[in-house]
Amino acid sequence: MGDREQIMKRLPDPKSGERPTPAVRVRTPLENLWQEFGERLHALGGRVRSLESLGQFRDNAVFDEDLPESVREVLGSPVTDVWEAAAGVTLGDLAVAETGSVLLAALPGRSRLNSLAPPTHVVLVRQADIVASLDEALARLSRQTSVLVTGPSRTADVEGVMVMGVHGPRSLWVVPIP
Amino acid sequence: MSGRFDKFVRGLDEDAVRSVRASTLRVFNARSSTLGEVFEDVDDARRAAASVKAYVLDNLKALLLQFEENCARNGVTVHWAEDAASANATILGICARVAPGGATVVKAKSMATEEIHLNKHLTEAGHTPIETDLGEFVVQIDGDTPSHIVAPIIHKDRRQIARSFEREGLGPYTEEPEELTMQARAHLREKFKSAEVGVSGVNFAVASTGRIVIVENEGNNRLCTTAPRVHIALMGIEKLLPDESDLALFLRLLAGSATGQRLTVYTHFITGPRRAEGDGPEEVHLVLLDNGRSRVLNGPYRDILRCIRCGACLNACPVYRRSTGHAYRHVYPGPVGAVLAPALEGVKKLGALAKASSLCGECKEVCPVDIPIPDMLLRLRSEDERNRENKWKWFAFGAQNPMFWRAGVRLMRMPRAWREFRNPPKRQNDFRRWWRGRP
Repeated sequence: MGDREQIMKRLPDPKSGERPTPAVRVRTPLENLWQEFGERLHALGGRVRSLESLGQFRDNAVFDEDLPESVREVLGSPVTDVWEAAAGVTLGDLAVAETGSVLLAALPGRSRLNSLAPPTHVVLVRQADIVASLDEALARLSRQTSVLVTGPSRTADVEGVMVMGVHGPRSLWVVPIP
Repeated sequence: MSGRFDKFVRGLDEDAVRSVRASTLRVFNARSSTLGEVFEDVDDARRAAASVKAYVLDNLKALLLQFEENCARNGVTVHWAEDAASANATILGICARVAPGGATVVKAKSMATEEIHLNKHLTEAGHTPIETDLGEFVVQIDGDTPSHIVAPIIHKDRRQIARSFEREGLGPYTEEPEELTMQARAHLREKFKSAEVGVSGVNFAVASTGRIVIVENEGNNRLCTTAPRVHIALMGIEKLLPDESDLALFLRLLAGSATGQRLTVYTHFITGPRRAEGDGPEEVHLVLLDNGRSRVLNGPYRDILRCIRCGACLNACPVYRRSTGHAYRHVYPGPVGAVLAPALEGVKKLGALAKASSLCGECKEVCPVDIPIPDMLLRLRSEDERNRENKWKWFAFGAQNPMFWRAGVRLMRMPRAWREFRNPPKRQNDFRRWWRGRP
């Protein structure tokens, strides 16, 4: 008998009963979502920046194919090796005010390493694409593999001292775009 | 076992104890303040999560079948593993196929892989496992074992880490956590680029969609599940959640309970191998591990399977704080380990762990899924007691037999020295006389 059958044989038959759908009350921001988002992100070590600040990465960044033309013009020509780039610039699908997170789906034309390998990750999020709570963000997950990024990469493994950029980017910029 | 626990604690290095106490207290405090900010009523949230997990355990069979079907639809290859040997064999088989000459395997932090001792098996089969979580990396190069399920090197200070890095040639000796971390980053970057296989655990898996959810802070998990050609995830069969709508509650509770964060830095939602995107693994394998869990499910300790491995009970436990995780001599230390370890591997072998507790109840208070750990520890103690030789068994025998009891009481009345200072009750045997003469 295979492992699957062995395990199935031991598991008890399902009990009847309603699936619990508890309504847990969470303190989530109600207004000024971008301001709330900015404060959360700041506390995590990330920053909300403007589009103009991307100029410093001209010819020194990797970016996804679905970036708006105006942004590509600022960035110049892309670096060929993602592990050598100074920054990775990607589109984010959603900002979450409650946690200061951005949602990145692995859509066609995007590369997951662009948001991971370079020391700085810049996420562009449309101003309209912000939700108040984590619940709202998760309800909008697509069937694509996705990641919620909540601040720069960090560790506290050495005596609990917080260090940024252990494996992923050391700085995270979120740029709201129209 | 209990003797060894005490002996271990007596021989502990004071520096290690101080380091563990400071770290556990810090996270313990961060936990309560964050959860208090996030939830209007934390206990309400804990009870809600407990009810969802109880439903999962009640319906595990049906949910696993539903999950398996959805994984297949997502293009994830599902493997079932009855025990550790079977899980290891499955993972070794995949590695051997992907890299016949021996694979470089980058590993993200996973307690399930610790449970099956995967690294040992990979090494013996000619593969090269590399732990990439900073703490687990230090554990690996030191030939040590993790002493906390969330913070594996909570028992080490920066000087020990600095010496290990210098010894391994990662860079010049430095006691700066920042520089130590950057040395590890540079070293492990090269491994990510060359690895053929990435191995991770799983935090939650959604039955209704087949979504695999993994949380982390460092980004190494994301590299392990993105850069290599093949991703293998190992998960205990109890990790399921029924639906997507359950995720937000559990993600908040896990991050808050484990480290006092509102949400972990990276929360991965994996729905299969690379499709139209530019990178990501070509194959995703999921190994569903039983290894004793279905047996526990049918026994008195089933509620321990609600556990989401946040480590809050370790940080809260006065015994863990003083004794460190290694005293428990098991992959799963602390209050949860004192129940889970004997439940999985037998009360005869590990039941004495339940004595390493003051029964203060703090572990239940902080548990995000409200597991009644103190009740289970008490039950384990009595089960363990029944298993060992009872020094009072002659007394128990005599006390349970009326004839022997009467004879014993008469004997006890005999010593004069005793009666000179005490008056034995005069109305002895009144009850028996009444019983005999009752109508």
